[in-house]
Amino acid sequence: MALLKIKKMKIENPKLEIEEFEVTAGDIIRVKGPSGIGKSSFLKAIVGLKNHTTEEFDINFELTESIRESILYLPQFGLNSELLVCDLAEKILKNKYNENSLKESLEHFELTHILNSQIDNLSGGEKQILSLIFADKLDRSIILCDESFSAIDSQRMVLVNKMLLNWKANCKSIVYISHQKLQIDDELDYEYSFTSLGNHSILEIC
Amino acid sequence: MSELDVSQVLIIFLIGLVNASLIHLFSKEDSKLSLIATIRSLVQLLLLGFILQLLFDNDSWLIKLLAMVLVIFNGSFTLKKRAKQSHESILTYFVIISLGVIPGLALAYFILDEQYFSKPFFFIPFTGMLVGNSLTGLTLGINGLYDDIKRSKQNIIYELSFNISSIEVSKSFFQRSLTTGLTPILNMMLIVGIVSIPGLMTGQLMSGISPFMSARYQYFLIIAIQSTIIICLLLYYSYFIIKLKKDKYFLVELVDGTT
Repeated sequence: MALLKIKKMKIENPKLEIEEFEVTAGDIIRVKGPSGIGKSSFLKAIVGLKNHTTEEFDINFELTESIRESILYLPQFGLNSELLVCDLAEKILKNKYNENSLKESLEHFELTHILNSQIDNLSGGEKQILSLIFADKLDRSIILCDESFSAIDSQRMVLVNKMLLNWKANCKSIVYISHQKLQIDDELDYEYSFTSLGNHSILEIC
Repeated sequence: MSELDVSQVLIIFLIGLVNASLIHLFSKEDSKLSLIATIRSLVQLLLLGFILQLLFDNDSWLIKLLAMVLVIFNGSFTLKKRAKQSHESILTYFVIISLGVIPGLALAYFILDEQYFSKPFFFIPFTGMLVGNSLTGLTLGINGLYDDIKRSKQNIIYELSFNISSIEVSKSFFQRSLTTGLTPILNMMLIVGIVSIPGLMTGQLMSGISPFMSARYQYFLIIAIQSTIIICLLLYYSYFIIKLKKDKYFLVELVDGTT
């Protein structure tokens, strides 16, 4: 049963048309296309971070307030903030925040030392791993990764890959955009591609 | 107090023209603006003097209220032009400034002698001061708010992604905007009497009122102005929050520049 089913979605800026897009539990889906075609806009539109008109937008999970309670959009760039990592974690994870659990996750990525660092002092890769740790703790049904691994070094990418496969095993779905070759490319369930048709682009299943 | 005749005013006007020509050496655009400002301020002040004289000669509440509406309307019109990014209607600004000015007027009514409060020579310039200063505070606060939001696209998208509400995300922008909007009045409050003597006090001293009395009036005025700016800005943030609640795309379209 589909967790998310979208039919006839239209986005104005950039002009995009999505005929059909479906995500079932545990899917790993890649969305590809040249830079600037609108891949990020599409992922943002799914979570309401971009205005769109959609004929059919079916979700198969309970919502109390926002779709972002069940679907997480992970942007490429992390936060710029003077907050400490532990304070940001508390702000984002709210009642799911547990300092020991956060320490364990950071230790797993050999990043324990950043717990009391300012977010502004983290590298791009550290910020991306931190976001992935938040995503893991938040336990969302679908995670939309928008170039969310682009700054992570190859050593830690092995661990990230394990985390992603663990999500799949736990029936979480991953939709991702990446211009680099990833290990999870081998685990793909579907691949969608944006094609430019002059003044607008369409999304097609490959 | 010695009177200024037409020839003396003309000399002052010529100095304004010299200022504009000096600015011309650096920026043609600013020089043009300075020239317009020199002419406009003269015409506006002469017109104001003429109108105030008429009002002082005809003390009626209807005329005073009309003058107040006109002052607030002009303030709203100017704000609409100067806070270009916010796209609010003149009516919205009119309501915000009107509501913001009421507590200041109430303060004056209850603290000062009722008869003094109702005199046109107090009521009209006092209202003008409240509106003028709230206009400065609102312009700085609103422009600061929108600039800050546009600069923080990355952070806003990040926080919204993690399901932090748009109102919570906006709180830090409101805090910084309030600081920006209040900076001129706070600076003035910190240096008043040490670095400068403010306009009202100078005017009162020049017209022979005792320094002690004029200092008290000046203090009253500063607090009334500060209150008006704070209330106007808080009213604007409340309106902004209503927009956030009504339109779930309002904030993201602001950062995308599509609003």
